[in-house]
Amino acid sequence: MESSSVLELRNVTKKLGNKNVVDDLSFSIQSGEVFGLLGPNGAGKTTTIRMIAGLISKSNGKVFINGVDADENFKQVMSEMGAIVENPEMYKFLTGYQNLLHFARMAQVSITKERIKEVIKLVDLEKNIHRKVKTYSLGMRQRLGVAQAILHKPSLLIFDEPTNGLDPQGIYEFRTYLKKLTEQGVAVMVSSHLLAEMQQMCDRVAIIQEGKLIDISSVHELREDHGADTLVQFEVDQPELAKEKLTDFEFEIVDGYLQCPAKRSDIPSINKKLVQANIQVFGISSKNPSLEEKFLAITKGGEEV
Amino acid sequence: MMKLFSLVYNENIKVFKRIRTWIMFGIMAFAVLLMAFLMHQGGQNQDWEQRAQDEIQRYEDQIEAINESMQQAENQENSEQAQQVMPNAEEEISSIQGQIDRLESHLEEGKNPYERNVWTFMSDSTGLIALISLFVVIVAADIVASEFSWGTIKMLMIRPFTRGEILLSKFTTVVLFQIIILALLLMTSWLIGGMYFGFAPLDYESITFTNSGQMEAETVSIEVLKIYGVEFIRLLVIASLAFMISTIMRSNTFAIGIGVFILLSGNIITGLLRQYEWGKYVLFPNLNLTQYIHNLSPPFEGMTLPFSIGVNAVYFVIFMGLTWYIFKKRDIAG
Repeated sequence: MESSSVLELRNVTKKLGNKNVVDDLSFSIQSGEVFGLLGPNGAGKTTTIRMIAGLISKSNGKVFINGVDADENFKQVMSEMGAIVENPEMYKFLTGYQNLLHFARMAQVSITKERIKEVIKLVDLEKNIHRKVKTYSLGMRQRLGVAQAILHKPSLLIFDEPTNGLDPQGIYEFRTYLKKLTEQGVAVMVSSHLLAEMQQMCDRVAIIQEGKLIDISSVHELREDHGADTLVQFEVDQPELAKEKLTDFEFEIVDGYLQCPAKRSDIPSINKKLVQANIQVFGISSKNPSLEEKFLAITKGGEEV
Repeated sequence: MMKLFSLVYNENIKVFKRIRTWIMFGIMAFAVLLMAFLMHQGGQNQDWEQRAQDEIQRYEDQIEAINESMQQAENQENSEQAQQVMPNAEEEISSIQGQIDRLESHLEEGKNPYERNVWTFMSDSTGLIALISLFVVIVAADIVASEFSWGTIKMLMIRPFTRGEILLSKFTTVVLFQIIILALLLMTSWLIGGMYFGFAPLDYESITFTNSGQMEAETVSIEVLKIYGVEFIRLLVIASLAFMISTIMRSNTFAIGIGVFILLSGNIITGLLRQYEWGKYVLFPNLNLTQYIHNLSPPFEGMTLPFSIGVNAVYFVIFMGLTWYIFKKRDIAG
């Protein structure tokens, strides 16, 4: 099993003073998978990423990349990894292209001009690549950050809070690159404190709090119909009337929305009945209750969600 | 090995793509030009024999003034206090007397002591190495610290290179910068000196007189090269110190501050250390390597050029070793 994992953490711990900032963390990520590290600010996400990237030492535990112990063969491990740790800081007095050349020179494999061109095209920076980075917007810097991380075709990508400061368009674009990359078999790890984002981006999400692993859930499992009920919300013109008329469902009114637990396959029929009862439906959304509940519980009221 | 070359190449790009580096080169060239201009203004058309006589007169007045104040102090109090008023009056008088002897020898031999050409100008402009020292300290203090302040250190450290290799590439770049800026000073002072004061053959000799009054002919171009050589060693040690401080403190301002302090206070600290036997093993007195080239007597007995180079080498190894050890263990956060 270990051999097929691109990244594996075993009992990874970081002790600062008397506190375990990261406490006995173990999980593994497979090829082609987007794995999310979800937790409130200060939960130990960045510390975990820093340990994986070798920026800080581990107090305990092991990190394996493609089965190789990161402590024993740092160079090999690093040549198979691409990352953005925190903000995508680049050399501002150099152009985007010069920055990419700088990082390309540091790769173990030799990177051709064509490869650099290809990556620039992928992140859609062709127009601005010869401008100095100090003129870049945060979104452009983020894209340049993605470009430097994927230049050497690593098998593992790590992005720490990749959507921080990005506008919706930028977030959408970022998800598009991720999809392209995972199709090529790359394993991706992202961290975030935003649940909705993680649900859209990841295949599996690990929730951590105070350095401890609370839960790992598969987003697909919950999204697809496995007999489990999800919470469905209907935006309608007369919620009270609907609740009275349609008694076969356990409707509740929350913030003016009609809400009920239902299977995914039931949603069209509920909608049909609402329409037949002459109730206007403006919108339908389904929520993943188990993941959200867990996350709300740990973020204490979920102000950040 | 090729990969290490790429690292050094990268570091050089980061040094030379910054405007700061070119401002440093500009200031240096301007200083050479200014120096040539000011020296050119200073009495070129005067009769040299008359000028030497005037200078001798000035020195004699100085000796008289010192003697007078000594006498006064002696008359008023006991001689011990007189010693305190002028602790090294004897020394001073003998050094001024040395200057008088030198000028008189020049007059006797009919050799112009004020003769200037490209080589004497280059010898004089080695004083500008003090300015270059400042630039080297800035670059050495900044090369690691700036990666921290830009936040790019994380991008740099997640590459397939050990921390030792990253440090090595950075220090190599500091040394290259030092070589380049010293070479630039050498070339600009040759060019500007030659244009202002006239070029001269490589084996041009100047006449100097030792403390014992012996006449010595010196090939100035060789002396200049010797000065550059020993200053290179001194700069290497100061750069390694600034490099160490900036790597440990992650603050370039602090490292630049300490570097400049060492550049400026070396003589004062040497003076304070003179009373202690172990003072000769301290870095500061040994940094002044030009004293051996100028045949000055070193502050401690038993100090020679090889001794000082040895002491410098030991400090250099300690500074670099400490830097490497601490940087290897450091957690890179923030």
